[in-house]
Amino acid sequence: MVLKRPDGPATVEGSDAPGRVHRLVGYLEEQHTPFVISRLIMMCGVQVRKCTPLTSEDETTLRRIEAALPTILTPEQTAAAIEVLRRR
Amino acid sequence: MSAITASIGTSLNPDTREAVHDALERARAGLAGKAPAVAVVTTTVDHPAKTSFAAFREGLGSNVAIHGATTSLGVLGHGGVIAGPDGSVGVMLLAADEGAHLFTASGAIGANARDSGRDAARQLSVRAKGLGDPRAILLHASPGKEEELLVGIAEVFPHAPVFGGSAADHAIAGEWSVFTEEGPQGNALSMVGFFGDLRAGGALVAPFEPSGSEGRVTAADDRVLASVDGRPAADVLGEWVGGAIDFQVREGGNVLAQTALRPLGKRRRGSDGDHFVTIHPAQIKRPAGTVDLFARTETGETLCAMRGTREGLIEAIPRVVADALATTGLKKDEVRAAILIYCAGCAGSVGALLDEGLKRHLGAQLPGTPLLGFCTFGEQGHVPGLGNVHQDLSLSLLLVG
Repeated sequence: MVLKRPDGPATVEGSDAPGRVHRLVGYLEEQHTPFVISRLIMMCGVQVRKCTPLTSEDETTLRRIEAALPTILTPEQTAAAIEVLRRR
Repeated sequence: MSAITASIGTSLNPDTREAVHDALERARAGLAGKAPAVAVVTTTVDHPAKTSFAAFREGLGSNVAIHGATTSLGVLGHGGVIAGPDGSVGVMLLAADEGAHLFTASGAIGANARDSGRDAARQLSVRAKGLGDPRAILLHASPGKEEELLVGIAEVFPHAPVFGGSAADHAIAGEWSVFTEEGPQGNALSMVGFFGDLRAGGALVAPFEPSGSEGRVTAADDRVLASVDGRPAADVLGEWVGGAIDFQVREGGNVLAQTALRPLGKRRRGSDGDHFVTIHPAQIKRPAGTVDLFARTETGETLCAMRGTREGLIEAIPRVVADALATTGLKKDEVRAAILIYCAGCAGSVGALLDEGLKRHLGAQLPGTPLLGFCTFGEQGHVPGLGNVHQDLSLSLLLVG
């Protein structure tokens, strides 16, 4: 297979809602376990643990994370997690 | 008198040096004062590999050989999935008793991986001079060329069963390391040979069955599947998997989660019947319509669509233990050390079920046995009548007694 380099948290200059992935990671660790975060990283390919409260993520990164959530969470858990991720 | 003595230590300490120190201290406590010959080590990539290795070397001194690889997701054991927000560290210390011998060998994987496998095996052979073939070999290697490494190893040890798993990270981003005698390396292999008066062996299990669909590979290059029955591989995979990957078939993208229960398989004939070499599709590439795989396929061979269940991936734990006990002829209370290799894709797919499954099944089947588990990006094991194989979405278990 073709290997890719790690995808760090992509940032957008001037984004008005930083820290959304950081908030999601905190929420998932509180609601589930750190294992869920590792699984999320595997499924979306984004190093979500490296996102800080000041990191502004671009829409593509958010969509990749959002798309991976149903593969590790139930539909109800996914809806709640997406709400946390999308809240401004 | 036991052939070997083993002990496990793990740590979730966020500080790498302290985590290694904690894990070693716990492992040493179980060795009853014996001097370890080999340390099988693993960490998640949250811990810098160079710092981990330096801490292991410092803690172990220069007389203990270090072997291992990074694990995805977490360290596995009797306590389930050992994973913390800042990473995990695990170590198994192995002390050889009278008549048993442990040796390690390692090296970088060069342009010709077969040569690299052969060279490392020769190194092992030289160190174990006069002891004959190893009872078994524990292998850890970087993902990419495991099939060729196994061919090279077999040139030196044609009858030695090999069990192991490929180094892994969390994001499939090439951040993995193999812990070799020279330090952590991104593209390398490392082996432990178990020689002398001991029993060692294991089993390889992939809990999938053919779903009925199959096709002939009409274009492939190593681990990139280009076409099946003359059609773009992505389209064929999309039909076999069902609607779950429609988006990726159109746009491209990661299909690890969706194909963890719908892999591909190559039918082979072992002495116990058909064996399917399972292959995990990782990524669909557009516009080419190719599919990146975690194992090799070749033009002209037939690929089967396979199917499994999350429950099956958990029930495979007692199955691989039972198979390994049967293969080695060891009774539960004769097993002194166990290395479990669990596919990271499977672990990612089954999630919390894995934690419960490990606690339940390992506690019942290998009570009290020191066991260290890795989540890997490819698994290697010996199939009776077929030999050593590399495949995906599998469980490989090495038992030593």
